[in-house]
Amino acid sequence: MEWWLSGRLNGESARRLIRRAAALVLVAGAALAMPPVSTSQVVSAADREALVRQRVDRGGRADEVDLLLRRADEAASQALPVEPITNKIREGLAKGADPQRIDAIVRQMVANLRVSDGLVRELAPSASATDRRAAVVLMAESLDAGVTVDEVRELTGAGGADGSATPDRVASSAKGLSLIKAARLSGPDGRQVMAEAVRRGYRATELVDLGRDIKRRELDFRSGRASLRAVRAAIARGDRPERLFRDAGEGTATRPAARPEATRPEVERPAAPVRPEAVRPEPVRPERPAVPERPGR
Amino acid sequence: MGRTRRAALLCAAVVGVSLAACVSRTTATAPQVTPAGVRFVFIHSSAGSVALAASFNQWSTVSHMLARSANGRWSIVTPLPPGEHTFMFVVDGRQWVSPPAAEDYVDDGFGARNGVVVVRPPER
Repeated sequence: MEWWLSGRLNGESARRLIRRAAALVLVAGAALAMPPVSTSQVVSAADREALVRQRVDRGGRADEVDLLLRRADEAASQALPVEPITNKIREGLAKGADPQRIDAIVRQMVANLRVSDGLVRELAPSASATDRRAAVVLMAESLDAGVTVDEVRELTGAGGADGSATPDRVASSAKGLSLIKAARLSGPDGRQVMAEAVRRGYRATELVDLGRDIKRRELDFRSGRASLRAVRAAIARGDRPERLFRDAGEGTATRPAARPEATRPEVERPAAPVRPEAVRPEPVRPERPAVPERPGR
Repeated sequence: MGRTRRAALLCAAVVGVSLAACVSRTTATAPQVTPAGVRFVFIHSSAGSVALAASFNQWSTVSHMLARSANGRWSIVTPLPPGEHTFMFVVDGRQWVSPPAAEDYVDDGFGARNGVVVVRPPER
């Protein structure tokens, strides 16, 4: 720097200056060319690179991905389950969704996970984060789908003080209720159905399946061929889940459902992925009396 | 007259059966559990490739490619853990298609519907 202090720039100083400047440019260039270090704690560097590449290929920027991944980090820092969040981010990026839209969804997910975590902690204060995880995720899904905190508390209360309102059963009943609400059926009646099922000791999987069975028959419920009150009454009588929708016999809650639904365009029904007992037997039709043959004209 | 009528009925029956056969070839099928895993089927006669993108494969459009058989029928069988899984099909690597048949559907939040497949735990 003596050239500056002395006020003159001789040949040697100029060469030194150029060398230093060149070195600085090289270092800066190398830093820019290096792959960015992952800013996320929950996604590996390789995964982040893949997500960034996906976004950049669609004309986006790397920092948009980083912003989304920071939401997952935020959840991780609060000991919330992060897998549903990273999965949603991956889904949104894979589908080419607007990062702002993904961010809005993810922020809502984080908020619901936080609320669910609080509700599950109330139910099981000593449970570890790992033990809480499934219930928290399921309950957050239910909140995402429109179930309210008050409804969850009511379902919790349905279990009484006998300890039957375990986190997984409450979360499953909330999930069942979310399915009933998704079918645009009465929320209060749906709540009563799920609360009764909790009281009657339905297992977690049975509670979700109950909601799914009702949703599957939404047309029957909306048309009045079946009613949530009748389902509740059947549960209160002690009907087990496999019997509720099995047939139209005396004492069952509903008449046989119309199989196809407006929202489900498929013709073939899944037999196997659904639990075997959920597949109703075909209604037995009475044999027709023989039609006398008409004499040909 | 009687013979004409019978012939007409026969023709109608033949046409009906043909149509039914045609429909059955193009009918969508919801995922089914098989001993080897869950079978996903998709019908698309002009697709060059079909991928299964789902919550269980991080929505990858390359990890679960369906194999093509006759009549534009694409399928894959993949083992899945018990639980609820959401999925869509991806045609030719870029067109996301909501499954024509599924046990249930949910909005994906991005303007489309994911199919839902539920794998139940084995009965104890």
